[in-house]
Amino acid sequence: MTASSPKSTAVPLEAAPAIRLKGVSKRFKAGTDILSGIDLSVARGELVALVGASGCGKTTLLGMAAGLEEPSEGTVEVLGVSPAQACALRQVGVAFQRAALVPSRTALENVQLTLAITRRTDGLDPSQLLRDFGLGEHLHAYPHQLSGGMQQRVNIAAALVHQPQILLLDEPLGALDEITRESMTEWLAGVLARTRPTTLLVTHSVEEAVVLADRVVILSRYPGRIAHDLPIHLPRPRDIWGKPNPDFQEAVRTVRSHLHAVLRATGL
Amino acid sequence: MSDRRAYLLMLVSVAVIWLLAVRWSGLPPLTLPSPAKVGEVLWDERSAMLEGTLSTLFTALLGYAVANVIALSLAIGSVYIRWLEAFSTPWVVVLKNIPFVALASLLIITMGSSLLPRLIIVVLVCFHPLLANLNQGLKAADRVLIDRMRTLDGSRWEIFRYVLWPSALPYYLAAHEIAFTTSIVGAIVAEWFLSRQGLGHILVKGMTEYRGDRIYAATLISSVLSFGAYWICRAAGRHLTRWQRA
Repeated sequence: MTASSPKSTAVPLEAAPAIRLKGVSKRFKAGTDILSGIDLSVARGELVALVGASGCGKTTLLGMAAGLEEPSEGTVEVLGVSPAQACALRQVGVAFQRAALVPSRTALENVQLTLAITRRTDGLDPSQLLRDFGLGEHLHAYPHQLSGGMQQRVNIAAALVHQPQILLLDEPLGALDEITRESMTEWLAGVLARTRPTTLLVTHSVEEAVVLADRVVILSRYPGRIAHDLPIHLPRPRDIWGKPNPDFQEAVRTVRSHLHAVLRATGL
Repeated sequence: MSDRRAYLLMLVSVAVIWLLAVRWSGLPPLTLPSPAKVGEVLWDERSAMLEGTLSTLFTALLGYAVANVIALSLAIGSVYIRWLEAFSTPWVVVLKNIPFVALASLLIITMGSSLLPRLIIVVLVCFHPLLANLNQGLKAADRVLIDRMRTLDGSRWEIFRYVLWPSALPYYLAAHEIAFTTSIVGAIVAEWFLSRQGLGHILVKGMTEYRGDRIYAATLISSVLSFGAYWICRAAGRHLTRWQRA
């Protein structure tokens, strides 16, 4: 690791899980445990959804994988190295609930900015990516001229354009209305199926988790622990908005009943 | 009503009120000269007026430049050096709140009527709005965007250039609209106290010699300068933030 330059895109330890948390706890200064004893591995190309009630530490967990927060105990490895090193390898893309775009730059310039900062020359073509994302008419629009759904598509494009091996999504569709959210979920499923990054997705929506994820991890809270780790064995593409799909309904029901059991156990 | 029409209406109103006042107020031409008389003075004494104007502009611009350097250094420095803001705030607050008439008197007895005390006054009157707005703009930067830049391994410079500075810019530009004008007012006041040149000096001299026409002439010039300063800042500001109106 020490030999590779920060600008290098070579990734060591190909065999290691893409994201691995071992015995991770997070304690805030006030002494509150937000996460405790988290062991989680995400294989390469796998998409794991984290669900749980507010305050269960989902976002904190994602922040640790992004190198934005340090665990109080335990270790976090991304691509076999520390999260900060993985970021330095320019192999991480993040999209948060609120689209974080530079307001004085157009949609296209915002996506290009990722390439400028990561200095990646092997990234995707930003204008083609935005066209694929249905924003061909809006390449030169400023963020304030775009709807919430469009801004979020630009945000996700900016997280994907440098083709990171790791994609961290923190409720990227959470701020959208239900109709937009449903169509965006389907769209996101398509995008991820094409690019296949290792993805950690925080969501409040069980349906979204089941449509997108290979595994749904349910967190309990106070402190946040992994309560259930449920594989989703549904064929892809998971077209679920069009016609009733009993397998999908069953998977949603299973996840939801586990989630409710966890919520009841932690007093909600 | 458009901006331009409103300004035109204001100018016409001022001219009408002035003419009416000259006609009906009963004040002697010594204290209330007619616009024609003021125009005459402006033309007859044009070289003295021009010299005064340039001197005032020089003091104002130099002081303004220094104020910007200080405000930018403190505001940007405070982003990276944690103790700097805490350390500098008491100084800034106290200096800003010293009545500058008192300060001017002090500067006269210590430094005489050189350029330096005038510059100090200009800097003191105009640097605070610059600093306050810069601080506010830098603090308003999108934390989520900064986090995203960090995950891309953006350098401090890149985070500054792409996130912090664009966030501070509209605030900084708004401060210029206030501070640039204030720098001209500050320069004139400083000259009023401390100088044998500039528009401030023309005003003092006009007062002691009972030359209302000169006072009006110098007032007219300083108003044009002030308004010009405001207009330049506003136009530049609107150009630099034109994306907001796209």
